[in-house]
Amino acid sequence: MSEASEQLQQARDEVENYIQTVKALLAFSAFVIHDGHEQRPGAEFGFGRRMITSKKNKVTPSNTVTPDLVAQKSDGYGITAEAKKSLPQDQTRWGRYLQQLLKYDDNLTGWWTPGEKIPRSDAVLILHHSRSRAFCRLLEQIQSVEPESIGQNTSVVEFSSSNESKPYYFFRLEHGSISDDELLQTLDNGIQVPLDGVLATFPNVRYYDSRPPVAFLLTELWMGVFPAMLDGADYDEKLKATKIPTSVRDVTDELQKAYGSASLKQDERSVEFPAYKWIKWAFEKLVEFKLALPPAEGSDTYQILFKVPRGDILSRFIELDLRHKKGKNDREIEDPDQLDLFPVEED
Amino acid sequence: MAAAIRTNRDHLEFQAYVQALLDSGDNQDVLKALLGLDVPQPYRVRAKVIYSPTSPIEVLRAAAKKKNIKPLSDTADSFTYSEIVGRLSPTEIDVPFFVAPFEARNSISPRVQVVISVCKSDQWKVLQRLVRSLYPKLVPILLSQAELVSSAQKLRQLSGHEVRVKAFSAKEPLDGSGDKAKKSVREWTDETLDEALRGMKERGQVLTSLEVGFFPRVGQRSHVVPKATCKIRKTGEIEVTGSLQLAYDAVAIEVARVGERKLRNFAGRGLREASYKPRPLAINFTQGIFEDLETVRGFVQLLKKYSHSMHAVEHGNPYAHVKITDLFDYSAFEVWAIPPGRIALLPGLKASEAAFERLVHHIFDDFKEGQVVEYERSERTATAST
Repeated sequence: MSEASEQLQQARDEVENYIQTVKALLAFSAFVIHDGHEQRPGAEFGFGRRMITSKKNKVTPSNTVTPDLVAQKSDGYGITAEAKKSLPQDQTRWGRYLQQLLKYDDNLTGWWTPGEKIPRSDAVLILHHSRSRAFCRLLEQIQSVEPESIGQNTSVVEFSSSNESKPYYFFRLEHGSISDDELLQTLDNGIQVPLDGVLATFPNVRYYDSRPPVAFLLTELWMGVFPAMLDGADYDEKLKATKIPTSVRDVTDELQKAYGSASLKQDERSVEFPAYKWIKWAFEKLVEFKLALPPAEGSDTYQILFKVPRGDILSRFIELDLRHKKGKNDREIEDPDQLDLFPVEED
Repeated sequence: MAAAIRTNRDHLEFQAYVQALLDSGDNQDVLKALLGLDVPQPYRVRAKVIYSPTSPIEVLRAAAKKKNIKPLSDTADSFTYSEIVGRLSPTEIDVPFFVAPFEARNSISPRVQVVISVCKSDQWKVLQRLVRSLYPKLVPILLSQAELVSSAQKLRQLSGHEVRVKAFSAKEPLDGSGDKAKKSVREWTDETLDEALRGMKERGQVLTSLEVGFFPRVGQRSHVVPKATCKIRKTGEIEVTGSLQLAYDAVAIEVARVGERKLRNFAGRGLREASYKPRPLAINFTQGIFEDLETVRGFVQLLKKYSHSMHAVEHGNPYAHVKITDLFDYSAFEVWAIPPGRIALLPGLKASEAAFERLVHHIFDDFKEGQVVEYERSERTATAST
């Protein structure tokens, strides 16, 4: 495989990881809040929910933390979780995940209970099975040397997506324990949550409180958002594109309603995703790729230069991004006529 | 049945007669006159059931301002459309047509109407092009195999006649290719519908059109000459020889009902229209077709080749996850093929009923026909499943 193909595949894997992480978080949420027939009484979940640590928190006392997932099984038990489909190769960088768990392994405030407290909770790292064993070994080593650095209610649950005839997410407890007997027993044996069920229950949730790869965002914008804004937009013969005036705020609001935080139950502790700054970042990329004109000062309205490219749109944006990164690294001046990575559909 | 026209003079006279008939009163008068018309060969009464999110006749009236469509009547929705065909020796072809609403007693929405023309096949092709050029404002009614068969099965009851299959067109697998490569076949027969369907099933044939004859019955005895023959296409087109009244009452109304029910079911599912509450659909297959990885890959290839669209493959193995944007009206969908046998269709911000129908029929025609249902955990069949 050439270096370019490897980079392309790696970038596609990052997009795939993001999608899988969202689905895995939804699957795990469903496992906690649902009893197989219906939602449990008092059960709730949220992505990136703002929780307040206690004064005794070992990492960040009396501060706001935003776990990837807060899932409340009942008024008496809940789980805070971080999800990682991949970890850096360099194991010395894994310590920060332990720090995160230590932050969440606390008597947090912000649950869906009258006093926002919950009697029992666990802090869980949901980790892809490809890394879970290695991570657990490291965790055990650290625990043997510095027992205080790992919380009492910290555990690691591995997940994998099955490639068998019926795709499902598989979760199994790999380290630590779970304070809820029912969930402990199930997780100890391992539980399969079918992809079909996750998709049917949450067909529209495509984001969580973590920024996706830019190619993912750009594909969403180019295929789903900008086309829906084409009514009344004018084709510019000179630019060979349809100019669509587009506000970052408006697009952010719509994506949140359609696929993000506003598609889930919200309250004052909910965070907003996809975030305004992610969408702004994606728009800036379009300016860089000469597919948008920047806003006037004080405005957030870009002029999108919409055209219909040939081929796979996700691959096109990955290639554009890689090419621009390479251009920056090499400090080369690009000749846009040399290699058109955004060739348009001929009518 | 009427005789054939052989001389040029007779052709001109018959065409003038048809034009006069299309200007013979209001819509009800014109429809009544058409239903009783004897049509000589090579002319046929041809009809196409069409849908519009607004009203088909309004779309055509608006198009008349730009396209070469001229009103034939001040009192009825009759028109003539002209188009120049052929590059080497251009010829102007005129085609008269009438846009008929369905009567209120049929309980069919005014969004569904039928374009009727008494014309030859070259004229009909010109009219088909006009209708196609107005997509997605004008949407054809596309029938699945199941709908075509189920409509045909009702014909005996609706018409009160013996219904026999005279001919059909179908796609069938090439020998030894499994389901992958198909050839088109046209066969002539004289069987009851049930016999013909049994034969088609045994040979794995997928219907594209069905030609049936309506034979008058007295008790257990049937006439040997049909009162009408009617070719029904999956594109919602009907071609009639003999009594249009019979074909109209039995076939056109049934096609309109099926089409309206289906398009109504596809409507209002775009996230904006649905106030951001997801309203996804699924296509279920009885067999576990996606258990074979090659089939999943083939399905992804099929979506990549979907005409007039943008695509992005987000996952292709072992399940498929593909984004599709329809370039006719910029409707967007996420398509998931989930083993063992389900396709989930998740509408994007904008998803018109026309785009939904086009995508579903692309899958039905070029992949496999399944059952369209609401996509929910506690799954239930959609009110208008196909």
